[in-house]
Amino acid sequence: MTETTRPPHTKDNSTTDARRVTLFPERGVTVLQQLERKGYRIPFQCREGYCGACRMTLIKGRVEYPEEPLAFRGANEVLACSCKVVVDVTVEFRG
Amino acid sequence: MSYQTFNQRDFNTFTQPMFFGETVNVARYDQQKYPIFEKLIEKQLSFFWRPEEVDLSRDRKDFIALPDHEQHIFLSNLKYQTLLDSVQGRSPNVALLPIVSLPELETWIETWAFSETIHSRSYTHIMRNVLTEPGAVFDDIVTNPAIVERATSVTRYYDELIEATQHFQTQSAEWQNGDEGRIALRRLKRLLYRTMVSVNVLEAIRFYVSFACSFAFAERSKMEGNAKIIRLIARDEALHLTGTQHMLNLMAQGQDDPEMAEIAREERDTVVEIFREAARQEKDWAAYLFKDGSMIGLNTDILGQYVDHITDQRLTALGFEPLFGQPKNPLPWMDAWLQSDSVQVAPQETEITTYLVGAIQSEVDTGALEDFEL
Repeated sequence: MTETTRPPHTKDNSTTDARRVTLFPERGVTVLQQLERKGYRIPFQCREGYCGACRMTLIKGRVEYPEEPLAFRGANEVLACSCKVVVDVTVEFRG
Repeated sequence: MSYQTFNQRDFNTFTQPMFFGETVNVARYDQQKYPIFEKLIEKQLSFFWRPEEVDLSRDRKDFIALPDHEQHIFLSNLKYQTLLDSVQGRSPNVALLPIVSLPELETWIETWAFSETIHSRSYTHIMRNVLTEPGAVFDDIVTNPAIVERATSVTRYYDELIEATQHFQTQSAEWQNGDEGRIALRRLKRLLYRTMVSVNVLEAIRFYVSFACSFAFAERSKMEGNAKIIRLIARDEALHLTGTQHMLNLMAQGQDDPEMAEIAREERDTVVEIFREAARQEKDWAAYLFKDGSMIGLNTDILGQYVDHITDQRLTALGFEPLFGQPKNPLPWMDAWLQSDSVQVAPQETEITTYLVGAIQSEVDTGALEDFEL
């Protein structure tokens, strides 16, 4: 029963890896959108800054938030759905 | 000193910690120590919805056509959700209002608990629409051993905190300020911290496991009205867990109350154990749900992997090491169901769950004005 009911997308159950990606300023595009365009699957829920699902580590660079998000973020963390790149950034996330 | 409904002492709100300072007097929001709680209130109010807005007439037909073991999965999951929101609709008020010291946080707690009562009303709305006789399902919540076991674990920390608070607040001011009182207060803070962690586990792990079950039906175009309600609930819960994460992080940072930060450090192992225990219980629950058979897209193993995934995600959000090696999300379709900008409630949209009405592109940048001449 277990095997037959398992959908194909769950066959790969490998653990996630820490990935570092560098992004450049792009007008009107959030960090999350940039990463998705590059093909990374980032966990998200609200996409408006209140759930915190897309929280990731900022290794270097600078981002800006057009609107201050509600979700908690630590000193070196960013919420990918709500910020845009200002100065070339490197972010680290599990994916 | 017992709880006072209007504290007549004059004090500066900015000197007060979130909990166990002065009891709140004037409900004023012109000066806020932590404006984040006011923002959470505003967001929660903007989310307001009523269960009756969601049409469930198709769900009744779907439910009747489900095989027995899938009816068991659906109803058991709904019972569990009913239990969780029964607890959450009252416990933040009962446990936290007597000890809160900031007006914006007090109002956030009330707003938070109120939205949980809407969730509770929505379960009755679902049961009334899906079943001819919903009474037996509700009755089973307090007699079914699998549910009762869960009730014990989700309420334990709340109940310990409430009992200790009641004991403390019925003592004299002299006792409270003496050695015994100081020891009792430190214990209270410890119980509060554990309660907050347990609430975070409830809202950020237990609820999400139940959401996965609800959405698994809708992935097969079954019980879509139910999924629409659960989507609205999930949107609220995302906000609630953000509130709890803020409180836990403010406690751990120590600027709010240095003693709380000490306790947070001492409690790190306990926190991990609370998460580990919850993950184990959720896996046991998955085995109970699927005891008579799995459903397409979801079974004991997959739901267990989702428990591992979500537990690690929540632990790392609080600055803890993951327990299960951070596995990938085995239910990638959950993201689409949880995405809030596709949440719709109009009855005609029940059949087409991705239907969007009146969607507005709210993002405007200077590029949009490039062709504009004065």
